[in-house]
Amino acid sequence: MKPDVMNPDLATSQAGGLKTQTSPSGGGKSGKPTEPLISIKDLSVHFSMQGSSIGRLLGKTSGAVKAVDGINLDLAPGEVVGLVGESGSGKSTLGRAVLGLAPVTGGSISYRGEQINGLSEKDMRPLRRKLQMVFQDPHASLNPSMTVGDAIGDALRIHGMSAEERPAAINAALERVGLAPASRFAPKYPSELSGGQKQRAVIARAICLGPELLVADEPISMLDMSVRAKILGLMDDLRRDMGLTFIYITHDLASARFFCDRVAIMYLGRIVEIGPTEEVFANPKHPYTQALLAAIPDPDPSQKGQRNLPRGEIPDAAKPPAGCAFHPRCPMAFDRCGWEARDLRVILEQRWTKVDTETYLSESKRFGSLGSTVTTDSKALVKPGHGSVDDLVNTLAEIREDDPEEIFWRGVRSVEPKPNGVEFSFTESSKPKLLPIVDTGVQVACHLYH
Amino acid sequence: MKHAVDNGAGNRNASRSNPTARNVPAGDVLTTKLMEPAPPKADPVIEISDLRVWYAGANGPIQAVNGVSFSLAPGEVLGLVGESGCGKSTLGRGLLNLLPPSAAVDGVFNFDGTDLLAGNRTEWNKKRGAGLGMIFQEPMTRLDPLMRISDHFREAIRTHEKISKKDADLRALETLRALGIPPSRYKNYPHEFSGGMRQRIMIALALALRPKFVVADEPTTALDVLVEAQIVRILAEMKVSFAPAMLLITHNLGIVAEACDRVAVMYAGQIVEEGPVEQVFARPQHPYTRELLKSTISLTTTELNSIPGAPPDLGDPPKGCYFHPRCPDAMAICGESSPPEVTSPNGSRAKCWLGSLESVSAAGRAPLQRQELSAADEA
Ligand SMILES: Nc1ncnc2c1ncn2[C@@H]1O[C@H](COP(=O)(O)OP(=O)(O)OP(=O)(O)O)[C@@H](O)[C@H]1O
Ligand SMILES: Nc1ncnc2c1ncn2[C@@H]1O[C@H](COP(=O)(O)OP(=O)(O)O)[C@@H](O)[C@H]1O
Ligand code: SF4
Ligand code: SF4
Ligand SMILES: [Mg+2]
Ligand SMILES: [Mg+2]
Repeated sequence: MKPDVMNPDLATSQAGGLKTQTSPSGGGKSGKPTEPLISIKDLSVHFSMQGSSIGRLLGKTSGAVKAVDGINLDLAPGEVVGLVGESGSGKSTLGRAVLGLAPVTGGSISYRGEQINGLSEKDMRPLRRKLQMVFQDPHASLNPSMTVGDAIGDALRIHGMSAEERPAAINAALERVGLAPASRFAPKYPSELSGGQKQRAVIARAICLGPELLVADEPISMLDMSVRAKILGLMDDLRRDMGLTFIYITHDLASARFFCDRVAIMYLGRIVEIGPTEEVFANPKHPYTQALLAAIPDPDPSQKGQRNLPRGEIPDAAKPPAGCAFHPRCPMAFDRCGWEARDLRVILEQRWTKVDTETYLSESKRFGSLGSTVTTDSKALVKPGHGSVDDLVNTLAEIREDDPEEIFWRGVRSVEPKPNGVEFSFTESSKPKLLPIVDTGVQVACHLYH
Repeated sequence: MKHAVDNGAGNRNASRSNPTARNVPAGDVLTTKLMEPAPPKADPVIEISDLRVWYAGANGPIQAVNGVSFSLAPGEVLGLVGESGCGKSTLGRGLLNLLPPSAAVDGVFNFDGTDLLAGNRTEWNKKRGAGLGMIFQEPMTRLDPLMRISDHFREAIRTHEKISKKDADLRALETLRALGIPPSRYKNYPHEFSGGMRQRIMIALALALRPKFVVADEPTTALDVLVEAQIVRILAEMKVSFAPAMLLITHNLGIVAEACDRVAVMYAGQIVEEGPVEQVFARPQHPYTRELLKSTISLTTTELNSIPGAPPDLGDPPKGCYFHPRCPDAMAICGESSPPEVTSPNGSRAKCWLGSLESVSAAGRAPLQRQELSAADEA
């Protein structure tokens, strides 16, 4: 299967682009600017939590999950862009939105200059053959009662290929992904295939119509480690041979570094850093990017050492932290990063895992329920438990004295006793904007840089 | 004279930084190593020899573990790696008597001075929890959603030990705090915790019984990069604070490097190489270990490598060395007879004919003609 057979219009428009694409500087950015294949502008996907039974169960009775929150991203033809981040950062939702599989609540997505979000299913269908997706779990992606050949044939039929043409196209797709001889694999059911073979079949189905964009959502993370390199190698071949454009979604930085021209690091629905792969990995700028890189366990035992890991975990997207969403975990955070009342609870709980039981008991009883602090934008009222407001003030002072380096206190402007509790006021904060850093090609959303 | 040799060796190799040697003067360790080709460890907690496990398969028995032997000293952490289906989980579960009834186990498993495989199996089950602990991959499926964390601990501790609720709570809180779970959350339900916290709770639950040996089967596979790193750190710290001997099953070679003292590489039911992590990773003796290391995608990967083909059907493994159909170094003898295990002076052992070439005839050393392997045969 040659690229021009797969996709005539792409082959002509890509003839020159393919060459620049293999250069380390990445596709589409060098030379004259190409029209983006996909252009994402101020994209938001907010899921309403009202009425959802899961939401009620988890105590999220109102509000929205801002799964994707104001994202801008252009993909040049033939470019591979990685979306990297922890689970819940919105990678999959962004990828799905591009294919019309997640509800866009704001902004736009364009394909070759035409807006495609909000299209009817009928108008979207012809585009589906250009925009395809590969999911994480190859097993769940294949119908267990359909042979691999039929699954591919079905996709071809939906897009109007005649019954006579289909067998050749099925064989070509199977052989293209390494399931050769096709005659051996076409009649197999998914249960007869290994994990890697299943993922090859899923990829065959995705490429059989000659797409231009492949959204690959963690395509190797469920595979055995010895198979990952094979599937990543296959995608790398496809990108080269067919000029495919990729959105490669992963939490695995190593494979992103190998495969992507550019990477976008995501955190709670936003891009916090984006730039050419080499630059982002060599000089990570956002503290979150730095943390992700530092967290990778090094297979070289001689590199064993203490690493600085951020505390905590990715917060609930329904209640994102104020200011910079990363501030509760950020080792570099300072006064205007978004400190707020609930951060107090976190640092107290953390402290209580370290002090002795006596101290824990005597300190904790001074606090009323930590969950019920009353908060406004920049003020919080912490209620006393056993003892007076003054006792609470004293306990807080002791705690602060014990660890004056704790960065939480950088954002605390004042701690004052009030009749019914202790009032904290915090430094005014703002959300950091994604802005370019001169001479790097990198954009970063962090107050340290702007 | 001998002293000088010791110092030289100590400066050259990495054994000073080997965590197992931390509490012992480096000189002593090296002296032992020089005099004893395979240093016997002082009072191992567990000693496994020639362990075998079969599952009942549709076409006859499947030998999932095939003659595995190793021992662990107190606090020693052994990483177990290998491709999917090579028998890692079967080995781990087999040691805790957690295999399905369709499985048969044979061999010797000395724990605390008794062979648990020789006696009746209720003795074995009694040890589970208190003496032998297990940490699973998916904490949520192991925690009862309707039970508070406190009740999980009280139940676990008081099934094994006759102590008061208050003492059980003290023990639980101490363990939870060591793993970074705030005591203020003791009365919460499992769903009120994040994934990483639940995994810490599972680890705490296993450690609260102060087991001497723990099997951790892919304890971080379901977690995110940063949380995984936090858990790996906790596992590494456990060596100091609780010091159970541990079998850590993982797909992540980085975690082995970070948290393990030794590593065992498993292929088709057998341990094909085992030794100190530094040794095995820097100078793999077995071609499978070498290829496995090469196929791992890391931050320094500039070229993808992979092992062609897939591990064999354990119901019908190939003749000779089980790895020979995929081995780039395979020789004529490899397709005929099973290679002997050779222990090198540094204490690592490998099961490969390359380790005893002097006993192989010239004809036996001839490169093996192999069939082409394609993607079609991969795992
Ligand atoms: N209950 C069972 N009945 C029959 N065969 C089984 C059973 N459980 C496992 N096996 C087989 O035993 C072999 C070893 O499986 P095991 O789960 O121990 O591998 P593993 O190394 O842990 O793999 P992974 O890395 O995927 O976890 C495989 O061939 C598997 O198919
Ligand atoms: N259909 C949905 N309804 C409600 N919330 C959702 C839905 N899909 C995703 N989310 C939420 O959106 C956020 C981002 O999810 P996702 O895009 O899956 O992240 P990632 O792929 O980075 O793990 C999460 O908080 C997730 O729970
Ligand atoms: S703005 Fe920058 S420094 Fe501040 S919390 Fe966010 S990442 Fe850290
Ligand atoms: S015994 Fe032969 S086939 Fe087996 S690993 Fe060694 S060289 Fe390869
Ligand atoms: Mg996802
Ligand atoms: Mg397993």
